[in-house]
Amino acid sequence: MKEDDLTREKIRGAAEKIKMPQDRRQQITEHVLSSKIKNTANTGNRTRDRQNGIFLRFASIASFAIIAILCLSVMIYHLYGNDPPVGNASSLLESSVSISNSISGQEKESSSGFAELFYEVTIEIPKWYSPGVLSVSELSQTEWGSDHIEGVYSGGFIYINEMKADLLRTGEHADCKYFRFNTSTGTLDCLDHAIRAVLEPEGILRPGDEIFMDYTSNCTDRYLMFYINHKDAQYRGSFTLDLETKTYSKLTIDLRKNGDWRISNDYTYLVVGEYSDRWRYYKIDILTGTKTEILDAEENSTYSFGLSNTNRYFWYATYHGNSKDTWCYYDLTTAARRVINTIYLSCVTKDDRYIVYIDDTGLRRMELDTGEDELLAERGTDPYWEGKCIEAYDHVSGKVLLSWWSNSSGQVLYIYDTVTQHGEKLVGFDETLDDIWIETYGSYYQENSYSDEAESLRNSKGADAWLMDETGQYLFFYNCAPKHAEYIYCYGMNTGELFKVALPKDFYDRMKEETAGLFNRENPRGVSYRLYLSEDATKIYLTYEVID
Amino acid sequence: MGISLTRSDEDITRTIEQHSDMLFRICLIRLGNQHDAYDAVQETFIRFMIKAPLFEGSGHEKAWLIRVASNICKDMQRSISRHQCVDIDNIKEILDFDKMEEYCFRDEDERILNNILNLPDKYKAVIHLYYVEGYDVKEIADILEISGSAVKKRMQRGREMLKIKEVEQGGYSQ
Repeated sequence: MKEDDLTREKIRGAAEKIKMPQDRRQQITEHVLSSKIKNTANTGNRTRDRQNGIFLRFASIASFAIIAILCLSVMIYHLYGNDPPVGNASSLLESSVSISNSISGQEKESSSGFAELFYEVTIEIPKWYSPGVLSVSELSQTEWGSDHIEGVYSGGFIYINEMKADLLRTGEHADCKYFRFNTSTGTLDCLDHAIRAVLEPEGILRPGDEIFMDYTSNCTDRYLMFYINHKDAQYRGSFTLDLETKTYSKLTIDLRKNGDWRISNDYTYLVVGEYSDRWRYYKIDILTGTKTEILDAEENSTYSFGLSNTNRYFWYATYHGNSKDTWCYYDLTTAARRVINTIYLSCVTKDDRYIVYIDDTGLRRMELDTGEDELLAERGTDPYWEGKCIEAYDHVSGKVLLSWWSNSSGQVLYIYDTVTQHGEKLVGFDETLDDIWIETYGSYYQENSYSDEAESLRNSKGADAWLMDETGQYLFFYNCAPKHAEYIYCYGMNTGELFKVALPKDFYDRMKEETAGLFNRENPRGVSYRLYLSEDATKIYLTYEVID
Repeated sequence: MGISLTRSDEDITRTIEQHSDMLFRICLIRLGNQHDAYDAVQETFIRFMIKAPLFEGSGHEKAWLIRVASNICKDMQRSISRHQCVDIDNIKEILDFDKMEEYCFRDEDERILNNILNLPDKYKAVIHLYYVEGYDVKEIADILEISGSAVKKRMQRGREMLKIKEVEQGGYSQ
């Protein structure tokens, strides 16, 4: 028997022993059948199914929206034609491939020896846009275009999927796997080299050692988490690296195991949950391994926990059935608890001052420090209740940056900005913005390519990509609806005004050609978009991925 | 177009009986949390009831269910309020303890499942569909909506990682 067959036999044999308990199967059957009755009667109880329905609606967008690497092509194209520049340990490529608005274009040699496509155009940037300049930048490469980096999206860096990094593995980077593009400096950073520069002099990384890192875990733009194995599979340990201070820490946890833990903002401690008869939570110092109890949750059905944005609060969530979640926020300094019963926890402001959430009465807000709770918008019969709540959040830190609520036709009713200092801004979109935001793209195939039926056609409404700058003053978004697909829009959160910048024509034409298959029933395709912004907010990148 | 309201109770019950174990395995391994896995399976069948088209055969139906379950898992994982919360270090820790005898795990089974559980998500899915459900690369690509080359690379990397773990644990003789 071939090794592969043997492996298959072993794995299948083990996995098939996992069966759903009969009582659970029975419960699900009853629930599904009862849902059928509800659907038939067209009753609209907002149950957990509805909540999950929101998840499913998210899925209709998010199943595409992981990452696109349209950005990188020009860079890689030129990498093929030239030796990669050897800079410092972490800089692979000095290239500011800036294709601004594309009225006139020319090719020129950059200072790094790479040809750049460089387009200049003067556009009318309103005075309220303090950076003064906004250019649409492009780095694209067809060969890179069709795989995702799941979980990493900070807006400032474009992380290159390990599987797609083959083209970069040349010269001194032949054995490297982890790269990211810095939108502020226009450089491609080799993270392997950044790690090696610190750990090799310490004798921790030796010849034959290999670095393993999963962007989807707890890496951030500043901190990397990884483990090291020797080529003989001997485990060397798990580490963090602070890219700013170029210092490392050896962890007391084993990153090879997808453990149940969250890490603090400063990467000094973890919180973990342990279950015996009920959930108890602990804090573990990552350097010493010292373990101290945070609290005894006195609950046996907790399903999620974590640390708040500022790490002032430890929180956990419990599901009680009938769509009711309870969220407990525990103040780590005062030991005070705030408990919120919610159908859908929407967001916690960046400064941890407020929780904004939905319950049976409508959209509410609680001030965590005082416990004061107020109703922001009544549920009533407002159609927004039939709509959706969307969160824009930093996929690296998991922090919510922006939430908005829209009705069933996609019209945005409220937008809650959690980035500004006090996170208090609740504004309505004006009509102009709303029109652009919700423009329907059209029908396309999304998830049911097995079916030849029309039901697999869906309408896309609402912006396809969005990004808030770090100051919370500017909301950038892209809508691939025909009327707007050539532009990226910028909305001033303080002024309520809007301006747009055009995509480079070549870029747009190529994107249009590649995404044209969306309308072809014989060739169903999906597409996802993302925006990235340089730190000074002068360069914005649109990326897309076409999924065959 | 056959949709939810035209499906009979018998049809729904049959589908749940036939596919719930398979979907539970997929969701459990993907989510690492039995309660989320139950939710995902339930949601998949609700979706089946409401949305599913008529199928060309049982294989078609199964693939559709896997795809929907995978999307639901992906979405649950992405949701900020749905981070994994149960230690998935060990398969026994994520299943009902009082039902453990029903599973009849041998040590080797447990080791294999733990190794799969500890794979990064993107590798879990392809390894599971290939080895357990018996799909080929093209079919997996269709189900997960990724390219065939991505499936192959994930397979290759997943196998390497499994092998590393097996070597560490003495599962393979070298």
